[in-house]
Amino acid sequence: MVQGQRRPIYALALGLAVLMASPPAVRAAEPAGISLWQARWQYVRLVPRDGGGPNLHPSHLGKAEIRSGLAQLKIDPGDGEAVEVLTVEERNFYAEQLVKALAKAGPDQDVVIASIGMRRTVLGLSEPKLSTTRVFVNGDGLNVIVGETMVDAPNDTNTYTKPDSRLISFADGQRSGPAHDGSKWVLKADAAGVVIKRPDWAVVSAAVMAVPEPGSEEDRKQAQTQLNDVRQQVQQLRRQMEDAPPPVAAPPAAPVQAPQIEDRLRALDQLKAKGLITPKEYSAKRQQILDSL
Amino acid sequence: MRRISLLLSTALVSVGAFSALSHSARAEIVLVGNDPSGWVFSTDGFLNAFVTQSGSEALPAKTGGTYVTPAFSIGSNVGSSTHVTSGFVPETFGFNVKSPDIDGNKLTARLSLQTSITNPASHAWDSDGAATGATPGLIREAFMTYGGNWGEVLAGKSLGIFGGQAILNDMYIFGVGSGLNSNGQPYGAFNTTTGGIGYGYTYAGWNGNIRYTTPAFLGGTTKATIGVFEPNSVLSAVIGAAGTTSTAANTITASKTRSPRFEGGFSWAGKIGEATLASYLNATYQSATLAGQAPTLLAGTTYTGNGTTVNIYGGELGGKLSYGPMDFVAHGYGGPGLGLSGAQLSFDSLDLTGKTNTGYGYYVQTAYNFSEGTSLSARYGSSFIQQTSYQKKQQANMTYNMTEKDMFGAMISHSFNKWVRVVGEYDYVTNNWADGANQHENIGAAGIVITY
Repeated sequence: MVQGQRRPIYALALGLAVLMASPPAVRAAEPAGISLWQARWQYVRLVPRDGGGPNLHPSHLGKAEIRSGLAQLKIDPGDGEAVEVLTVEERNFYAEQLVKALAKAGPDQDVVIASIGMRRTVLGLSEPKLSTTRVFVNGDGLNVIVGETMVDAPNDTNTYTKPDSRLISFADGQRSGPAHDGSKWVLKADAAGVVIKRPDWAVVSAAVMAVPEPGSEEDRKQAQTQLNDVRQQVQQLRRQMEDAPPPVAAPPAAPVQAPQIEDRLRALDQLKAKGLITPKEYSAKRQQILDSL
Repeated sequence: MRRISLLLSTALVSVGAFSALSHSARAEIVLVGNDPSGWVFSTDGFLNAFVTQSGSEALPAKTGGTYVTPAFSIGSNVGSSTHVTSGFVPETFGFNVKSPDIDGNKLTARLSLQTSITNPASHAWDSDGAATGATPGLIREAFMTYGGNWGEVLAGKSLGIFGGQAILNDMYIFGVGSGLNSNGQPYGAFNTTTGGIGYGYTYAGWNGNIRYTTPAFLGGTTKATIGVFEPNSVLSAVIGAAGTTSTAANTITASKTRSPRFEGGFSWAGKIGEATLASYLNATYQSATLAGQAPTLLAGTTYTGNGTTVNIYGGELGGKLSYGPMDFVAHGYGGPGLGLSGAQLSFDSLDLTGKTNTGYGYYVQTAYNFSEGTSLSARYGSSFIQQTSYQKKQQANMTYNMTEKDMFGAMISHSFNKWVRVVGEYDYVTNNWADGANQHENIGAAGIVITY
């Protein structure tokens, strides 16, 4: 190689020096906080509380409570048709991860989660959609602030369109305001105990979390327990009706809490709907519950 | 030489000043796997079809003279014609497996299959290209990755490091670029056009390799990669008029590639203010030993190449920057043995005596992304070689080597949704020879591209 041919190499070396000097000015989309779990675009992290009062952390919510609470959250993407904020699989994932994360978090730490759920797309195929949330527990209950909802998970497989992971970041939910201005979506609640504080912020009360998610194992167990209780009560009622003494003025009953009555009525409705009690038994028991008011 | 430095400086300044990134957030289709932390089997694809129109001038001619036309140049198959072909990227179907977290590590595997809609020179119906020796199907990718917080190892067949980012940043990924002639498909063994290869960057190729990439450091901005690659044979251009068949007399080969090729580099990606930057600096090195029958040289020159080891190495740098609706790309490369054609280490890496041809070049590109999915892009790329002393003697004997190729292109595309886009482009191609003669080609194309 002649001497003059080295010049392009020198120019490239100079370019290297220029680029090597540039990193301090470059800022990657590096996540903050303590990583608890990460797989490609998904993560679970403990991050500093971004305002508000201290959280009730560490918290020891159970998986079933978390699943039940999250199941009540819906989101209207802007077309009036609300869908689940998180898919069933995502809720299971949240339950697994949040139990550990909330138990580990301190009063000044929130949990941020990015998860990918498979949503139906063309031809019945599934497409990965990513959502992010900030989660914390305070006196009001389980707070869920949505940052991203059902955005396209970056395609990290197609060689020709693959983005650089260092340049991709997702907005976590934040107390100070919605992560994205002008978002059309808005959270909706399926249960009375869920408070929508902001279009992106929902608070799930402990009472709502205590009600098992419909169709869940806990739901089935609770239904079975309630069924057994009702059967016993029905038997008892039958016996009482058979051996009923002449009616006398009953002493005033102790006041019963309204939620308890609602629960009993709801359980009774479920038993009737499932065909486990006769209409006659249903009417009698219902009247008995109402009389206890 | 001032020109070389100027061009490279331009490229370097461009890298420092701008670059680009368009977040291609197009989700693959998941076939199996709903658990966010579980196994996923997915498929992705890249499909495209273009109606092309190209018209080129005749090759320059001089009584008693010979104009050497290396691969990836306009060539002798000139004239005006319209065809329906695949674009720069072949029809690609990818299949992927991704593991859940395995003790902090992740495993992925990918197989991608390529074919083409191009009906080569045979013009036979239902042709798969076999009539002209074209490859009806390719497997460009078959690799696995395994990585964690210690970095990532990739093993298998995949796009090379050197030249890899230049091709992925090229706007012709979604278009046609160079590589058309009256047959609609000039380079018989290829199923696609050649985009910007040889017009500003060298082709990375798809070879077997094992590479290690570090985790991001320096604040999560920087990664280093080094890989060992299955080597290529190293060839000279075929010395003769366009269309001359390669023989032992008019070309030489360093086919004894008994040691692997090494490629590696650094990449930076992050944000600078409101702009997003992704830049890289890569290098390559390969050696090979000249072997075979001695070529026919000019009178008074004796071939002493056989047994000699040639060393080919090169460097490249470039970047892509996005700022608001604007994207900017710049790339520059250079090194002994990189040749002009852009077919890395092949076709014109050597002169007939076995000396390496130093090649260099650059391209710059910009795009403006309008709202509602429309974007307008423009690109200019050029590649050069420095003639060796033997090639200068050839020139004195009226055998003219090609010394420069450049192409200007403009493209407009509109995405109807995240999967479907239509593309239109125009390109003006120029090939220049050592004596100043040149040849031009106009290319127009319109087509549809589907990615998922």
